[in-house]
Amino acid sequence: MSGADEIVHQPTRLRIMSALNALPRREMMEFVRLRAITGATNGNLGSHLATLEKSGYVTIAKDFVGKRPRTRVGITGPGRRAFQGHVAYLREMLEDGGGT
Amino acid sequence: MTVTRDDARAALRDAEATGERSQTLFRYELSSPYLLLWGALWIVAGVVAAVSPANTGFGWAAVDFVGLGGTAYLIVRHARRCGTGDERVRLVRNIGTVAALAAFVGLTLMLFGPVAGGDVTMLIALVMAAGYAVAGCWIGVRYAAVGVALAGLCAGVFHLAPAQVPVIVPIAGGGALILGGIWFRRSR
Repeated sequence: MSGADEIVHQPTRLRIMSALNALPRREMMEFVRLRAITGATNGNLGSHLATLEKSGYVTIAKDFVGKRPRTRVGITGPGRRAFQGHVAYLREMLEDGGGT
Repeated sequence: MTVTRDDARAALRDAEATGERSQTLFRYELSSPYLLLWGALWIVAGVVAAVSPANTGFGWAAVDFVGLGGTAYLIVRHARRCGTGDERVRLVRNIGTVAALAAFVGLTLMLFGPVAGGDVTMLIALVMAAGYAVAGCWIGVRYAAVGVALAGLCAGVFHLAPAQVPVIVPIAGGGALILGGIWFRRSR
């Protein structure tokens, strides 16, 4: 059994990763929708996204729609693998009765 | 890092709920352009019926032609966004469901024909409403809300102003679809 991913396991980051992992490949989610789904504040979400981006788990794209700025977030291949690996670890832990 | 079984259970529950919400909102977003397209086209058909009742049939034929072309374009765009995963399979199922409903309406009209224009409009609107209500049971409650609103509008017009069905149902139904499309697009 592979170990827990400390970056993914933090509750807000786990929500971010599960929201993004549910989308098809190359699909991105707008920051405002991600904020609503995770229930995080702007600052909190921005800080966790920065951590995930630094780890190479998400990509952040900023552009304009007309005159309005738009921030979109997508999960990367390594991010998807890390999330799925972490979920598999949690499931195995429950099935095996392992962990502490 | 220490993860207890309770932590693991709570984390999995949280991740699953978040993933489901994310998928539902994504599906609302994908559905939005179809509602906006057909809502606008229904309104056009209703306006044609109001302004020139003799050309109602021609108006519907033109609207259907544009609608089917637009829908084909949206399906291609939709398929590109979905990639090759589960969403693509879901798209194919949705197309099959809509085609089955369209065939049902077409065959029903053929069996019971000739049918008055107002009755054709009512049948199509009610089958669409039922389709949205069924989608609401499987995908997300907002589909059901659009279906109920559409059915309520149609039933109200049918009872209060039956002679105006060919005009009011497309305009009111189209408006309901456009509002639903905007609601879906802005879903959070």
